[in-house]
Amino acid sequence: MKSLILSLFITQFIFCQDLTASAILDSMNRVMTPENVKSTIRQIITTSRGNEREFEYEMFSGSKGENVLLRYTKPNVVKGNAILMKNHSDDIWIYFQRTRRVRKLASSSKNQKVEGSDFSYEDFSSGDTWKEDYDNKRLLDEDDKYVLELAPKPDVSTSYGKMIVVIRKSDFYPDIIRYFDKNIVHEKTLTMEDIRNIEGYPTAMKMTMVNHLEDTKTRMEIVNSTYNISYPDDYFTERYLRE
Amino acid sequence: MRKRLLIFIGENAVNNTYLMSFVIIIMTLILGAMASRLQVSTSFTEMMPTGNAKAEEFEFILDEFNNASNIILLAEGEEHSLKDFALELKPRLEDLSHWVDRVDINIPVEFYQQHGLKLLKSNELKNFSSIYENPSLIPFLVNLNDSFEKEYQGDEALSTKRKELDAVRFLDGLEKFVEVQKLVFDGTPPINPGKVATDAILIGETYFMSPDHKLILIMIEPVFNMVDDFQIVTDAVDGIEKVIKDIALKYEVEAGLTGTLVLARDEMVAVESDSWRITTLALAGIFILFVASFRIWVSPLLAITAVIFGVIWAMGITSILVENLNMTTAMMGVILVGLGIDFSIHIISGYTEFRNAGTDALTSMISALVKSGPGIITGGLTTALAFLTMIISENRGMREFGLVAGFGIVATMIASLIVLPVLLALRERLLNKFKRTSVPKDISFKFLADIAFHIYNHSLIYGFSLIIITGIMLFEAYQIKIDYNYLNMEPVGLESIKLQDKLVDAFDLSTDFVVFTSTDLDEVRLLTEKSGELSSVGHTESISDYIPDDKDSALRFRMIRDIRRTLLSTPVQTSISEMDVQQFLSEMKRLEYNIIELQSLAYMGGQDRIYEKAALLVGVVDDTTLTGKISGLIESIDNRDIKSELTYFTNQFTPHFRESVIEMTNADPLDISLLPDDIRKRFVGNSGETMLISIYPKKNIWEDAKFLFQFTKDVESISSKATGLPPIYVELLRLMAIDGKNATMFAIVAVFLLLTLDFRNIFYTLFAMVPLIFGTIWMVGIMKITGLQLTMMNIMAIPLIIGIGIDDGVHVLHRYRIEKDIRTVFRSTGKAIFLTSMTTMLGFGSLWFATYRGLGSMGIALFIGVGTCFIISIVALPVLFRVHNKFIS
Repeated sequence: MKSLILSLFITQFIFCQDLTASAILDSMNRVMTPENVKSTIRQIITTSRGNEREFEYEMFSGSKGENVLLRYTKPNVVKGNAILMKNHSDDIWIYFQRTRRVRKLASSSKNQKVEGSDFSYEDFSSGDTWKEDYDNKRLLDEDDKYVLELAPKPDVSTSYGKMIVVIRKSDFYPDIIRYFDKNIVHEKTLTMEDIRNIEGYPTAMKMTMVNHLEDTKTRMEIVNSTYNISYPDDYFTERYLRE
Repeated sequence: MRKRLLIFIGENAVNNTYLMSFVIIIMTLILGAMASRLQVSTSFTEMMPTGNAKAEEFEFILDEFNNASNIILLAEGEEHSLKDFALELKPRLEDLSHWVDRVDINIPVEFYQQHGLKLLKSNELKNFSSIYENPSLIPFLVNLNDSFEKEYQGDEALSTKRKELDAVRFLDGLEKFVEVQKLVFDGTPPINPGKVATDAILIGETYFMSPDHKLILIMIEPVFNMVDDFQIVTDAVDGIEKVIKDIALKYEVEAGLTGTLVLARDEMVAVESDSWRITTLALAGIFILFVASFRIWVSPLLAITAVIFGVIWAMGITSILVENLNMTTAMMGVILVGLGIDFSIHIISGYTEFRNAGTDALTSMISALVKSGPGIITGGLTTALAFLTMIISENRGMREFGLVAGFGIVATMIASLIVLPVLLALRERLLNKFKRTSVPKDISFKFLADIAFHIYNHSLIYGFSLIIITGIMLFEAYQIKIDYNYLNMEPVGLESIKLQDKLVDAFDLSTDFVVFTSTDLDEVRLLTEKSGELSSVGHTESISDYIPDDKDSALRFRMIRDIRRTLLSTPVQTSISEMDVQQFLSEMKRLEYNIIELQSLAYMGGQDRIYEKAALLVGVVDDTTLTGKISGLIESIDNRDIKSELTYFTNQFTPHFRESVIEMTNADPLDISLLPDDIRKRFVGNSGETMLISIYPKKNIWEDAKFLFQFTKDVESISSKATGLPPIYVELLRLMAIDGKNATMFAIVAVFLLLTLDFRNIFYTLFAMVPLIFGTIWMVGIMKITGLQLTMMNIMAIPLIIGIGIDDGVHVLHRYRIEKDIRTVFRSTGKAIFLTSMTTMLGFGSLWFATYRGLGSMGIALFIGVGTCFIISIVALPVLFRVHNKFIS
């Protein structure tokens, strides 16, 4: 019996050691980037006067995160406003409900913060581009978690110099992502909590992005989420943004 | 030797009273004359170690630049009243040239009119150049809207506080521009509407107004600074304030002052007004205690007279030891009075006890001195030694405090041992002269003897309980929290503090900031840029704000030249058609939309100031009562014939705008030598070579010490030369923490060694220290249980209690060595330590009523500490005597 347990342990150990960083990243991408998602998200930001402000918006993500649409539902001041991010945030438009006009953001905005939060547009839309855009390396495991280091490939447009992703061995879902700036200074940490299985996909119901350099924090809570959704062809278009 | 000396003093005090009095008076006169030369300096820098780079740099900056310590005036009222108030105030204050160097009420308008465009970066010029290219009103509006609608740069364009403030300033100008139009269309145009509208667009608000225009900020540069004599600062601030309040009354505005100098004045006024009330309260308590305990009406007078002599002697000796008193050494007088009274109590207590037992004056005096004297000398020397260990401190404030307090205590102790016996002898002579004799009565504290004896007989249960309670107190003490809000130490309701908050809210300015210098303009520019990227920084000011960057000067020169050429070649519109009226309306609606979108982005991005400012122009979604000024203008002119008014305004605005842009696009060079005096004096030192960079924190540093540390660390990361009050204060705290810890450890070791030398018995030494160590643990534990927090003031109570709390144990042990009887020791010496503890507690406890809350927090901590040391002496020492008698002896 003892030898059986020992052999099982050794097999598990060898198996864990054998997984390459690329394989882990592939597995992570499979659970992280479903084809389509629709979520209702509550977000709390800190304003320039230091007050907390709460928003609620619906997030529609299609083509494995290549296209993302955020439509604000609360509060009244911004209700109806929407942000469309296409081609992994290379193209960004904003729709203002009060004036019923659409404005395009400069492509350089990709690396900038999404309205008052500590998330950048690229944090929303990375999808499965990590595999293409980053060189990956496996670091020493932390208990029952894999740790990967991702360094951007030359000529990739990103604001990060490095990322460290801590992934649960049980379901390949990341629960901590540490972002480092171009000077490899630890800039932000994204922590995912209350991870639930929704329609077969592990889903973090609470996410907190802490900006260590600016000492700010953005909290996001998923109110509800579904993966069983499909979008019409023109859903992620400037025209549909106005509707 | 010690005994012989005490007998000698006692004999001479009684037998040669007048000769002794004469010698004492002569000594006091000489030392008093020496003490009168002492001056007090309230400067922080005086507390820093000699040669400290930060302190030296700060003093250099204070000498080089007047604005390193300024006075800030904030006034609240109607916009026009505030501006009229500022206009009258400026010359009135500048007339007070013995106090005021300069008063700034607005930005350097002429400078901006000539050079405003040169200060823009090339990318800003590229984005906004079209606005300047056509001066006619309607094409100008078209260009303005086009510029708004260029591809958005995202919220990052507004993300820094500086950019947020720039955007608010631009919206401020737009608001004025719209106001002028409204007046024109209402048929009540202001004087020179074209110029007012042009300046609003090109320069913005010229006064330092809050975004809602209800507050004005005025900077007063004094000729004095915080290292000057304190009386000069107080008189000047009072004088300036009086002029301001008088003029404010005339214009019906509410005006007040803030800034470091004003706060320092307010603190001193609070401390002074407190001191009379607190001293009266403490003295009244002590008087009642003395009379009730000694049954001699003049006993408090005798004790205080002896202490006054002691303090004069101490101050005289201090004048030899230090150049002047700083903020900590100035507190020495209070401490010496508190401790000097204790010495007197022991002598009076012993003397009255013997006299009331029926012994004659000479025997009573000698007995009192012989029995209390060794305790007084050892207690005095241990306290002095505890303070003298502070001379190892790196920071000058603590080092000098240790030196001065150490020698001061020895001087006060000697004065008590010499002066008080003479005063008691004089009293006896006066009583004899008037043939009055006192009736012998037992005035010892029998109840203390009973308590101590009871504890002695039940030492096991009391000893065990004491250890358990001390363990709980230690646990509590470890959990005590630190109050990082420095403002919680300030008096409640100070106007200067309320104004600090308003200053941060409305202007994003803090009264205290970091400064550093450089002689290289490129370095100034680089440091200014770098500091802008720091998360804790609100904004930075330097000469580089007024001198264009050489980097892309050729490109900027070409762009400005192109603007000028285009402007000069563009025909000016003088007549307005019906179609133009429609286009004007449509452009105004487009402008409203652009501001609504900016407002929406600001809300989503959390930029409150832009959102609020935009609300004044376009209203807000949820509030139908608030009509924005642009929306109001459109509503008032829609469906109205405004052709003639629009023609009038176009013909007023267009030539002014054209001339102003031509002036702004001049090719004149711009360097430091061409800057106006007002700007140069702010940023270039008296030597003409050093340039100043001022970095403001993004929130009030005094409200959160953690933020203060972060801000200081951030700024020091870009320049090690960073100085000013924030870094000096942080450095001082760091040094105090290190020195305080070291001095505490050294004090404990020194006290231990001295007691071992004195008692020549390790157990007695350890016993004497038990009340101190347990009492200190109890003090912090009780503070935690009662909800008190450690502040930057009351944390000083911990090293202070080592000097004060050791006395109880020392006196009891000394008397126990002589008497070997618990009852006698606690009836007599117990009474003395009860009274000394009570007087010290009354003194410190009365500080609780101080309006300066920092003093109150220290007072209450020491009140608790002195009380716990006394309780432990009464409870622990009988237990230890029992243990000693049973197991060790």
